[in-house]
Amino acid sequence: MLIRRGFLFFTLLLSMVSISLQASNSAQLNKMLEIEQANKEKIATLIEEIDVIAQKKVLTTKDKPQLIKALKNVLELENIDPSRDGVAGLTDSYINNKKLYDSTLTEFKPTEQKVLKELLQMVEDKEKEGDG
Amino acid sequence: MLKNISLLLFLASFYGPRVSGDVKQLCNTLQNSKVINGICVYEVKYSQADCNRNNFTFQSGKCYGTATTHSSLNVSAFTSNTNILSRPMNLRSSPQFHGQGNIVSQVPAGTAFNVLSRKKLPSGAEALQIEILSPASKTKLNAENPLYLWHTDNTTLPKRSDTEASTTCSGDACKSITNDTFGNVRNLLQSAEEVNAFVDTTKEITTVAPAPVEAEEETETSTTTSDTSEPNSKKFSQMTKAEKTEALKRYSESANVQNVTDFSIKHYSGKKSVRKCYLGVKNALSLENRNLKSRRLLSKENKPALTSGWYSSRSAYMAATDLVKPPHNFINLLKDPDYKDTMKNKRNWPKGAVLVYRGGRTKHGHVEIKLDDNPTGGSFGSDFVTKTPSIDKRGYTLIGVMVRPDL
Repeated sequence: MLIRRGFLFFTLLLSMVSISLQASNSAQLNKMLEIEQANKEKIATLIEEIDVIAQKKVLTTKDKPQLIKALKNVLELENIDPSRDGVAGLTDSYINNKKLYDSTLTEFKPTEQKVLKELLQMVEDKEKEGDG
Repeated sequence: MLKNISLLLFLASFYGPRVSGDVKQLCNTLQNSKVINGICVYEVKYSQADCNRNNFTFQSGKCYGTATTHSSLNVSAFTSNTNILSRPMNLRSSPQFHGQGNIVSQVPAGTAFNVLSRKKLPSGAEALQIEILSPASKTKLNAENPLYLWHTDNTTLPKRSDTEASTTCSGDACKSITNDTFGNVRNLLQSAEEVNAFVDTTKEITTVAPAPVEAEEETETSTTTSDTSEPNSKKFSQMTKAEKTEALKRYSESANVQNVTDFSIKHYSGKKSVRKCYLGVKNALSLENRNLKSRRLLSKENKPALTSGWYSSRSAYMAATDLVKPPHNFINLLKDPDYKDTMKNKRNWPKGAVLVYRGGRTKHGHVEIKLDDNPTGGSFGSDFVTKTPSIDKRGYTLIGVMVRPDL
């Protein structure tokens, strides 16, 4: 009798954990999607601004202010756009103009530098290994 | 330049004294090659663009690769087994040499590889299971073991081509390095900077006109069977519109689609893209949770899925052709006369549809799964979950709305 009750209690506990995990997943998803939806137009604008730099094959020091703007947009997009399409657009630009990017990064806070370096490294790596 | 020379001196001092004898033997087996500072520099027949793309070095109108031996390896395991490719070839995940479904990557001319096993094909040709030794950029593919190349032997099949693309091996092409008594050509020092430093001293290497790189095309079809039929596509096209609508409804409401969408939400909601959308989609379709970096299988859900197993492929846009092939048997609604117009509108996409795009922010395109039945919005899963399908983004062209009407 005790074993049976114990088993029932255990099953009930498992179900509750599972339901709570599902609810947590669902809540997390909804939160993310709401943020993205609310910022849809903003995302498009930020990406368009990034594309100004992305479309230039060779960057010079004159482009630095625009590059700073583009990288600020990348940081902003990181909080609202899970697709990371903004930074993906900078792949070729980063590969072709690494020196300018590196010198521009020094103008950001260390925490921002770290995020940007990771993102740029990711898109560079994924240019070879990524699938989409 | 100073940096290049420093790097060269460092590498030469590291490899040269220990392996120079082995390198000489290795280099003797390669045409148009020369040992410089303990490293074998050899010429690869590539155009400038292909040379750069494959991480070789182009200098003075010629393309160069570098090779050295590695002293720390088990010598006997590699004896007489190292080969160099003369032209680019498809590398496949299974010994099937038809279509593109199992193509893992292309390997360039000059690729060095070890043959791990050989399998005789019905045509008389062989499937070689290989391990890549160079170029360094391709050795990462070894993680996707097994890897296969198609090969025939001119001596036993004199009228056949000896490569997958029907071109004959010539010169140093596909030649086994039998004189390499110490074994292997591992650790090829690949980077352009390294070779730049050598090239100035390699003027005496015989000039060979760079050969244009041709697109690879499988022609080994005469005796092996190829099942490229698309049974679901044929059946679906013969249905009435009402039957088609019913089939799509069944698909969307099936347990398979529910399991796949649940998987995608469970694993990718709240995540940000790591530019591995196709891997995320393949994971969801097969209910196999593979690490997005290493592709190692972490877990598998034992429920009905939409594909019978995980499969290897390359760019996301290839899903439009990968999924219609057996055993997946999806159909592309954009190719059905009753749906080709309506499916360009996202409101008409059924739940569970796999949406395939060309273009966009990378050369790979994009692929995503519609996760719910919400006609006005909904969410879409790949290696992240989003409310914005790529059709709403600039630069993406929808090329596939893939479903399985047989469920």
